[in-house]
Amino acid sequence: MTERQAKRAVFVALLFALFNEGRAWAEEDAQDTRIAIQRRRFNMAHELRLSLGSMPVDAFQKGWTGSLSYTQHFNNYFAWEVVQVTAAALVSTNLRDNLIDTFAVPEEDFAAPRFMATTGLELTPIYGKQAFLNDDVIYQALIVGAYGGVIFGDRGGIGDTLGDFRPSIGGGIGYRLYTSDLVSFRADIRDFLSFRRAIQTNETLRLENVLFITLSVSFNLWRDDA
Amino acid sequence: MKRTASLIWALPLGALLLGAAPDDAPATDPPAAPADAPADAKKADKSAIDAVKDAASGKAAAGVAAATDVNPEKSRRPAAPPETFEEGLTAFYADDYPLAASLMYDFIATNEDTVDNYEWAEFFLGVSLSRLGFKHGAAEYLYNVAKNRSKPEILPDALLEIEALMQSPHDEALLVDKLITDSDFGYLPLAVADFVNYYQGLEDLRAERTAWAERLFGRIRKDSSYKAKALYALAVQRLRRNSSSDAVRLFREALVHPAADRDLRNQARLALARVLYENQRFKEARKIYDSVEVPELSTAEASLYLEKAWTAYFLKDYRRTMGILYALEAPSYREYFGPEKFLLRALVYTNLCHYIPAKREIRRFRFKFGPTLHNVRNRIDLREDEVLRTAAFSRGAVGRLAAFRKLLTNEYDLIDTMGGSWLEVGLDDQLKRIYELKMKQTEIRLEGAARKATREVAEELVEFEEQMYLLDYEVGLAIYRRLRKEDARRPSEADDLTIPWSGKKAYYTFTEEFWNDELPTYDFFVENRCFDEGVQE
Amino acid sequence: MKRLLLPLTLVGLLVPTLASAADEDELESGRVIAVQPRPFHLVHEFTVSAGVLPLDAFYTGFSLGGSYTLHLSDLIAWEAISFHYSANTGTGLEGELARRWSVAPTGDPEVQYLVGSHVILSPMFGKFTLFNRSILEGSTYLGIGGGTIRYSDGFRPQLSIGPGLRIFVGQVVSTRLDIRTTFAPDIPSGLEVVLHVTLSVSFNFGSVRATESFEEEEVDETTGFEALDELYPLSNPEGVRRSPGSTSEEEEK
Repeated sequence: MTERQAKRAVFVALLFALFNEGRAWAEEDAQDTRIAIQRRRFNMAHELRLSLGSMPVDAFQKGWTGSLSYTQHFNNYFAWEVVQVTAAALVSTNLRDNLIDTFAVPEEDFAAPRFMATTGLELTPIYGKQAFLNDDVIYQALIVGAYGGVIFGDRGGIGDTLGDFRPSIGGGIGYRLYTSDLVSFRADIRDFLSFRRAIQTNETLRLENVLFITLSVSFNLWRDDA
Repeated sequence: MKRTASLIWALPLGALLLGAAPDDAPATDPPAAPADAPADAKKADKSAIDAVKDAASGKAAAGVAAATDVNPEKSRRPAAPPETFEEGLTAFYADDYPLAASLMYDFIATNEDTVDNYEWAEFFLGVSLSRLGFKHGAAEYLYNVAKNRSKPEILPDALLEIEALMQSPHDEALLVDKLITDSDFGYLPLAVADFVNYYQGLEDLRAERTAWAERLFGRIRKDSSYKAKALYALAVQRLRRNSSSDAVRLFREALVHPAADRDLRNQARLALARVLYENQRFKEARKIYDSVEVPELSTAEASLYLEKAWTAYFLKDYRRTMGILYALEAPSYREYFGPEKFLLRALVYTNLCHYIPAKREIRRFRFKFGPTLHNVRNRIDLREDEVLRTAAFSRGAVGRLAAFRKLLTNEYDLIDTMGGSWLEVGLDDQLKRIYELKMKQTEIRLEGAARKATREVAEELVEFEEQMYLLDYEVGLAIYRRLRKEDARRPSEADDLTIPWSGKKAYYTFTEEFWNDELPTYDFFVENRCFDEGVQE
Repeated sequence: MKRLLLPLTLVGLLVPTLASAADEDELESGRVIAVQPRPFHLVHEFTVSAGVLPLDAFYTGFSLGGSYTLHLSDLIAWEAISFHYSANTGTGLEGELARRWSVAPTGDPEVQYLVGSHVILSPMFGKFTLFNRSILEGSTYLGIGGGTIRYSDGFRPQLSIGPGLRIFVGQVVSTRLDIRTTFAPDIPSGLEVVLHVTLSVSFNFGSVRATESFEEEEVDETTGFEALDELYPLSNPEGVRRSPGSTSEEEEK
């Protein structure tokens, strides 16, 4: 076994241990007086999520996005967002229109994020409930995550767009509102650092900040307790 | 509801007697078998007394209780020199208990018991094992030291260590019956003498040798914590003799005793609450119940909740009663045997004229305990029924024995984690032998005791079933009862189900999610459907 | 695939099935509600905030500020005054425009500070668990109000609205997250939208609100032991009376 293989094996083992520990953690002993909730009302399992969102910080093109993702929840705390794929409809800002109309800048010079494919690990440390006017009880959770993947910059044609791939890493914070065992809603704010290569002559290699805000509906499938 | 009231009055008394002594039973042993009327209550008391006796003498397990032989066949290895003992001592005082244990064991395993420092080696081995979490192994070696008394100067220290071991589940037959109550230790330092006098007095009290017991208790120093325990034990005995005034005085003395620990104070409070309950002073009983502290989420807490629920029921505080009963549905109380929950819920619904839910509770009782009742009627070995077995194993002497078995299992599993020098001298093998033998003995004792205990639980259950049948019948009658104007009730504050939008209180509707901090705060918002005259009190 | 399709076809379940949606069974036999005292009572709240104004393409504002809030009830409060100063840093867009296309934009006015007054509605109160261990109390609220924004070229009126979340640390200290969207008319060119996200620490003082009168609550000081004295007059250990409602902790002390 090479050193690299050995390192990988250790990493996989650690990861496995982490999730298994989490699994044991999820089946908390009801008589453990340190716990706050003995039996949680909402437990996630396999989460399929449809999202609508926005990439608002690009000065030239605002992106309106649609995403689909699948997340596997190992327990009440740890989850792996196996994949999230996103496509954006780009809307030109006044600044970009001005640059194109007044300064004859080519349209493909801007190349805002058009597609995105990411994966990530999520942690849900906070779960709770609030009573609305002392009546309806609303269950909520706070999620933090670390994500990585690729962003594809809009270069007009699909081939050129796929050629402008930008490795990206980011972190995010999410808020989940549970409405039933099956359905919950989420709001996520993720911020990615995208390594944007110089594709055209007037471009330079740079780190680009991509803020990604989504509102989602999640379907919680194949629960053990269903 | 007279029938139910008398049934309930019998419960706390029986429970109190079962919890005869603070060290011997959890603060809130489950109530004794329900009894219907004064005659039955006496029967319940008698069975409780028997239980106390059994618990005291360990007779449920008599015959098999014997100290495991901790003196192994002498090792074929050469006898360890005196330096081994010295090294063990050095390791002990350096807090290196694994090494100390192995060296001390090597010393006693390879030398005759006449060699110098043999008893000291046993003592330090016992203490080292205790520090390492092998409580039973420690008890076996310390028992040897205290029982043989060939070195009287070690005796006080050995007894002090044994006293500490007795704070957790322990071999009662070995330490209490065979050692403390069956030995004459001669002169002992006062602190140790208090401990010994208390246990010996307790044994006399259980055997109804009251004068002897009082004489032994009288020797305990006034400021000793055992004095407070002795007061409590005497109070229980007085209560058993229907000398309530005396009993209450003693309970209160135990409660205010400066050396009384929290457990004892809570048990005294619980006893006093039960006395008030017996006297139908429910409001005051509730106040004292509320001051009782038991381990959170424990079976004792479940038992306390149930008593509080009955108190609230007799105060006609049905909302609170049901709130408490919902708390008892929490997973932490899953193992608590509580057929009364169904009866009490059905009673509350009946009192609120919710007849269909009342019948539903009766059905739920049958659904939950139907298979067990079927087993009882079919005369199967009751120990094979999981419900009865779990209930039996969570109460009284059997419960303590089950806890001891669990301790043995846990400590046995710990042996393999030691390794090192233990393997070289064979201490791990020796401990395994000790634990295996004790586990077998305990299993036999437990099975023997379980037979009687499960039968008692089964009898309780059958009586509850009868109560349920009767209630079912009464509910049936109530549904068709003619309403008369003079029977109309006056609405009370409990009829006000409005919830303010905001204010000093937060309201969280229960959704099958049990938050531990909410368990004591559940309120049951339910309409009283009984015919009323429409005017609030 | 069948397993997947089934839930998806149940989109009707999107309608929130909130906790209080009592089913027929519950209506029949009541419902259980945990009734707990609200542990914190806000009266005069002073807040120190740090925040960000992230949306402008040319600059990002980092704000520092504070506010005073008068709580009239647990539901309604008046954030009488808030002030936030914004220190702005460029996003690098100007440099990019100059470098790539040799374009120099005309300078847009920047936010310098915001002054406002808001009504705070706190309809939601609840609690959260951290890894299912400790419990944190909190409330969610909505702030609606207005005021003025000082831009680099002058004052503009503003209207703002936004949600907030408060987590209580204790009776005195709580932390707040506010996300406020501010609309400032830029006459005649349009409407400027400013997003202002702040994290704050609040300090609460006082115990009686302006809308409340000081009432000394009647406390039942009986302990239950009086009944024992009555039933068993000789049972009270001589010279010793239990202190009313004493707890074990007190006794330990």
